[in-house]
Amino acid sequence: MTCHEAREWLSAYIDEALAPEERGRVDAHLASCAACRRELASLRQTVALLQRVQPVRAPVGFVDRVIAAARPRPWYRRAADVVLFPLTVKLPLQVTAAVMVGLLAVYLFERSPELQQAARPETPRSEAPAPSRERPAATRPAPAVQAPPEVSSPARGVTGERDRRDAARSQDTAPPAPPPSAAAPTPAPPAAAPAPIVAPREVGPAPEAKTEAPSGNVGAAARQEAESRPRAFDRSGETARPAPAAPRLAAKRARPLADVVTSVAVKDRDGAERELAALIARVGGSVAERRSEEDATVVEALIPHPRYPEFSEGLTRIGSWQVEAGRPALPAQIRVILRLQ
Amino acid sequence: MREAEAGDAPRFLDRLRAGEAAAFEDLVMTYQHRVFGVALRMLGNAAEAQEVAQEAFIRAHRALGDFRGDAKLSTWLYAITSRLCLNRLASGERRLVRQGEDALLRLADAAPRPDVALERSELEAALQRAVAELPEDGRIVVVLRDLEGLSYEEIAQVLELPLGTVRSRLHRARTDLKDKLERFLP
Repeated sequence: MTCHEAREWLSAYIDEALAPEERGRVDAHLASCAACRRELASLRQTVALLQRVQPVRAPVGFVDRVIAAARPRPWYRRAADVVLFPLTVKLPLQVTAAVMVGLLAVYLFERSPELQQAARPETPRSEAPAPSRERPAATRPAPAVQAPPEVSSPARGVTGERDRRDAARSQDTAPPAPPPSAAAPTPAPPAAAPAPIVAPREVGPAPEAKTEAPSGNVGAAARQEAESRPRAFDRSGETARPAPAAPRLAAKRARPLADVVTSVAVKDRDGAERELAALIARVGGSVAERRSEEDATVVEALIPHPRYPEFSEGLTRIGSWQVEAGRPALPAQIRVILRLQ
Repeated sequence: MREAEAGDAPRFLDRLRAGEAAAFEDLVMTYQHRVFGVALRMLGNAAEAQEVAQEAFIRAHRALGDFRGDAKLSTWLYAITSRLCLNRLASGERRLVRQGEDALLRLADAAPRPDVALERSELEAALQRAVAELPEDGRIVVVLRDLEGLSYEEIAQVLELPLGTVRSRLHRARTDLKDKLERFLP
């Protein structure tokens, strides 16, 4: 037996795992080989060292965990695991769903006139106190229903920017705007529900003139404040605009209304407009707004009350004119809409 | 050093097969340290070892009907555990690098006992390291033979290897250990 063969068996020799015949051969080799005896001794010591390795113990609670894991879960728990997501997935999903439902609700509300209409009935109630608050300051016997133009004047500072936007939009989005002269006698309320309430007050000065007659000074104050900013000449588009709180906005908006609406029949619109501008300047008035339409040039002018007779006389020279609507009592600064056609 | 083989293994089996609820708990309590020990020596990580040991018991619980009873219950449990460990080491499923200082330190801290922790010597650390660095096929044989005390025949049964292969692998592993632990030998 060679040293190599003998050493291959030394481990089994130590463990007494060799057959008697094998063991005898190893014994014979060891008796004559000091190197293999030293190797055997080293191996024995190595195995003895291994015996000193500390035994390992399972962690505390291991048995309980194994028992819990081995116990079959009830069918409903297993079904719940399949059907339901874990909480870490479920919660973000629920939050996302809630946010999306909220956004959808807002979107639908803004896009649906029917929903806004449904929300309307509560708005008059909420605004009812407003006119009564204003009435003492207004010092006029006008009914509360007619209050919106005046009521809005204190609130205009807040809503002014929005008003300007609304005005611009109404002009942009209603291209074939009916002429004011036509709008005044026939307000032509759009299909939207707010129209019956809003349109007559805003578009038609004539009906208002009857009830607002005694409120000249208040109306003038509101008008003067409004002169400093652009306004929609024709607001028929506003009544059709499905704003969520149309009545509320109408009450706050209260633009200055024309005191007189006049149609002037002229041959040369450009020439007549130049003459009109000169006339307005002569009587100390000013042009508040000018707009060209297909068949007419519409000029909105402010004429001082004392010079109004002179203005009327001068207007006669420009063309054949007739008042289509007008207040019985005119304010100190008369807002005249002239439709040159 | 090692817990004695439960002499009442057949009774265990009878109780388990009779559906006695406490029988499985007794089985786990009896063999938990041995099963966990093999897993820890093989994987070098306490968390993984616990996972594998738990899985070994659960598989045993499910497969009790297949256990023929011609081997010792402990041998059967060692077989399940060894297979799980070797499969895990072979599959790239392992989440942690087994070799190196970290794994060895985790192994050393796996189940510290107050009385042992203070006495943990350089030799102990060297032994742990030397075993951990053995090739897997040799390490499992050393663990089963020198740390768990199984016979060659039992190891052959556990690992489903010929007796001669067990013998040669054990010798190769011990020789490797002898070289690594030379400075501790007289």
